[in-house]
Amino acid sequence: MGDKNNKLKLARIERDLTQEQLADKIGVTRQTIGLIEAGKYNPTIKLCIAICKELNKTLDDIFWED
Amino acid sequence: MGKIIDERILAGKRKINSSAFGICFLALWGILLYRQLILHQDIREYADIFLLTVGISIYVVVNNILQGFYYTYRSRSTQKKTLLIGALTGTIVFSTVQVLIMNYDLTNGKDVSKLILQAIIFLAVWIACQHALFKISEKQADKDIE
Repeated sequence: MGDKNNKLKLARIERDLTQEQLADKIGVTRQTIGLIEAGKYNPTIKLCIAICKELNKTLDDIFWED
Repeated sequence: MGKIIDERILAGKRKINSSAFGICFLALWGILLYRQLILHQDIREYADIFLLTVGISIYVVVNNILQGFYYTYRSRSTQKKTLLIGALTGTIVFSTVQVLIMNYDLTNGKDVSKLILQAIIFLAVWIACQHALFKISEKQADKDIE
């Protein structure tokens, strides 16, 4: 399995959103957001873009590994 | 961008449906073989299952070809290997069925030469058909990037 996506978690907390609130805004389930943050699910580029737009971040900010 | 469908759930559901279909498909072939080889039923007694199974098989192959998925994702060497293994397996099955159903006498030279000739023709037709299917599928796959 992949590494944890802490950048997503931090960006979400920065916006003061719970996993469920972010999931509702995008139209996915809380579990999907949880799995992405845990590095256990690889989202498609479409979902990545939707997450980034909702969090007002770029793909690099959230999904690019350092 | 509007709300999107949860792709993880969609993919999961498709996976379940796909494996259910796979199980049904294998079960259908199992039922066919059981009825033919164990119960020795006449084909008219299980024509519905036979047509359904063959129909589904044709549907799967035709759609794979039309979508350009028919082994196009494999390397050339793997394609050739698959083609050869499939052709040889098909020919062995065909010849075995011929011997069992047509009651060929393997001690009779005429029967043996007839069987060998049929096997060679079957092998050649199989390879030609498979090769044509690979080519059509490849053409279909290339169509998408033109």
